[in-house]
Amino acid sequence: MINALGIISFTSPAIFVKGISNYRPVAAFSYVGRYRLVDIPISNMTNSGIQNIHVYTNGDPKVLFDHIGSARHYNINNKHGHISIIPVMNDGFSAEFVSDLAAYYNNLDEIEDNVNDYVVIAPVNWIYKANFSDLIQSHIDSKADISVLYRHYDETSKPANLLNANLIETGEKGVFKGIKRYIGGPAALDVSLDTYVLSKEMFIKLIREAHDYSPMFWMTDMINTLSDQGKLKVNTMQYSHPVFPILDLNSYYNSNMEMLKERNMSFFNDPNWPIYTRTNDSPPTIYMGSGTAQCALISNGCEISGTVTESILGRGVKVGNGAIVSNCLILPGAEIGENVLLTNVIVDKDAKVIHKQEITGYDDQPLYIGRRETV
Amino acid sequence: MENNNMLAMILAGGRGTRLYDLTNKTAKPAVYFGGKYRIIDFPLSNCANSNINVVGVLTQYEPVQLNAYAGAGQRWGLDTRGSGVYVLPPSEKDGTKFGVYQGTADAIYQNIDFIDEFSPEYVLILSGDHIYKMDYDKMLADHRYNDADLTVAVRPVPWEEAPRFGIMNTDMNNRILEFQEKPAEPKSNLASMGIYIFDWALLRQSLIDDAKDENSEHDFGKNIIPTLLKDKKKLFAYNFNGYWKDVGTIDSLWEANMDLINHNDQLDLDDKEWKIYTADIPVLPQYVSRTGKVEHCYINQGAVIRGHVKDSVLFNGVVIEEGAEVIESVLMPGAVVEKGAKVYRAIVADSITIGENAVVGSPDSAEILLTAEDVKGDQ
Repeated sequence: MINALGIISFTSPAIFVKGISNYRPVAAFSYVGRYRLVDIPISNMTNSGIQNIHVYTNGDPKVLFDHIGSARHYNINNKHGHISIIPVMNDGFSAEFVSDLAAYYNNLDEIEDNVNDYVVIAPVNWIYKANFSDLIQSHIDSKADISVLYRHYDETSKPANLLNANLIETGEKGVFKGIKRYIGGPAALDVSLDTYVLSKEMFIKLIREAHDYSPMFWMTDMINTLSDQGKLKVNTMQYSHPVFPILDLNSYYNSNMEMLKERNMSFFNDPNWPIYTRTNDSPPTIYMGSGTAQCALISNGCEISGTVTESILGRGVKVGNGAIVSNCLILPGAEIGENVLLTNVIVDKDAKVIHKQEITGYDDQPLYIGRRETV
Repeated sequence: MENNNMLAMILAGGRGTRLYDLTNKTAKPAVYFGGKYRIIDFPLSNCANSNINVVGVLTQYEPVQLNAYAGAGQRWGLDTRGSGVYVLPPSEKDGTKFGVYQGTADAIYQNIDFIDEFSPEYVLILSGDHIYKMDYDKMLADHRYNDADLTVAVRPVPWEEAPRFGIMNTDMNNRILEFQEKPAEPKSNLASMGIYIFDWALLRQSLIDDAKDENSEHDFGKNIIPTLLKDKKKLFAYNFNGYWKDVGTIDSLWEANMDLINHNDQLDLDDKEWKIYTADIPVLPQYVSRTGKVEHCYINQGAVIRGHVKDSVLFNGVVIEEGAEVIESVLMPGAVVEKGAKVYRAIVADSITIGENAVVGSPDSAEILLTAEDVKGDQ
């Protein structure tokens, strides 16, 4: 157990994943077949010894209540530990434009009452594996007011789509200058992983000051404003392992597919750093008839009679006789009928592709089939 | 206890000697089955799904693993107020010697105090080593309808096999007239499944009487049931026609696993209304690599397949390396088949490694090989 409160933040309206976003908050997006995105930061936190976690969510929280539940499956001690799910509210109005700091302000009493001295804030739309206990130590050593985690990319390592990510701008000698939204530009860049470490005292101060400035101020605005005025010392911490963003539909697709690469898989499939999720007690997957798979991650409860290649299947997916599924991301419970050919397609939860015989998306732009739709 | 006033006792003490090295360190009910389960998940899940919320698990042989496993009642949803899974090894009691369970009836007799604490109206006796799905609540309804003292679940077996079982001869109303233990000339083909519902008050007295009888073997089949029949108690048979498999031998354990692949069995593990619960392992979904090939398989999450797997059941953590071949086999958790190795018609125990290019079993062997020790490769 470490001396920190974990906060799982929610994404700004700039992060919009076409189709998928219509049905659930980003935190609840399906990831690599059997997870939801929120499992990643929660597991990072509990593996780091953080036992008190607040999950903020700005969408229909129902699915998160179901998924997180008692939180026992996240390896949380049910006496010392707790996960609260905090839906973002705004006096009965749409919560869509409520900033993260405004949401924290609404929950200030609970934050103030928390006994931990440090706060770790992690997002749901960056997939990485980090030991927050080490990050807290590195923050303490830096003597800064706040530490931000970032990933450096050069031209060759840069992922295809980083639009709307937050960039960290540095001046001479790597001195922090500010955070701004990426709208294209430099080949080499430092991308913020929207992950912050700070003392609880400083956290409360930021929340209160932001409230006085403007209720529309996000964490990034507040950091920029205060650091410009020389009132906030910002430390940057480099992360140099695989990291995958979810910023739009393409990056959502890519960030799932990245896990099909063995080096990424072995990095994340670490018995000492498990990714916890809720079980739904599906049986193992069955391959029937001439059903087979190659270069694929397949969750439990699937029935495969066709051919699956270069794809990720969620729980309980059915692939009919003679169907060929390649380069697809199939979310839980979807059904691919007999002889259907699917290439570069994202099939949302419980959708059925049974009538149409061939659907092909582009390599760099997958097609999307909506939740519970029948095609 | 609020649900149907029935408490279940699972007899999980058996060593399972015919499973050889699989039960060296593990009691038979804790043996793995079906890609992600252990045998005891079946009676426990059946209990949970049948509205039974207090389950005693009687352990004796190598109980450590089983105790740790069965004690975590939340896996089967048996952890709400008033419910629980209680592991009951033999214990020292005032005035008796610390001993072992002398027989199935003695195991229950030694736990009379435990059962009394819940004051159930009915007690369900189960064995911990069968694969089946059964609604004990329906059996209880039958028991009540018949106003029975004891109801025994039975299933029809082929006539030629009947001499191997405890056979119940019944009248038209399913009332049991006679019980024959392994009869040379059976009068019926209804075999006892070792599943009993007793009225607790009656069972309690029968156990106390039986315990005093020095000639008794303290066994349900040999002593308790014959005595009740002799006393003209109301014994009824409850017919069960679903999938049921005793997995007491290597061959039958292998067959039951193969039944899952063939998918023509009646044991639908994908039944949303009757899920079989087990421990969940935090691992990625199963991965089939570019060099991997799977045909006709039943594979759990966390398995990694880079070789060729056909007609096989793979548990979590199994790794099949490139160029390896696995045919008609069952690989338990963490089994590794290294490059170029071949596994034919075998059960490979958990955490066993088959070394590079080694060959285990034979494609045309009539018998199933059990591999419970690492096999060295040629490297």
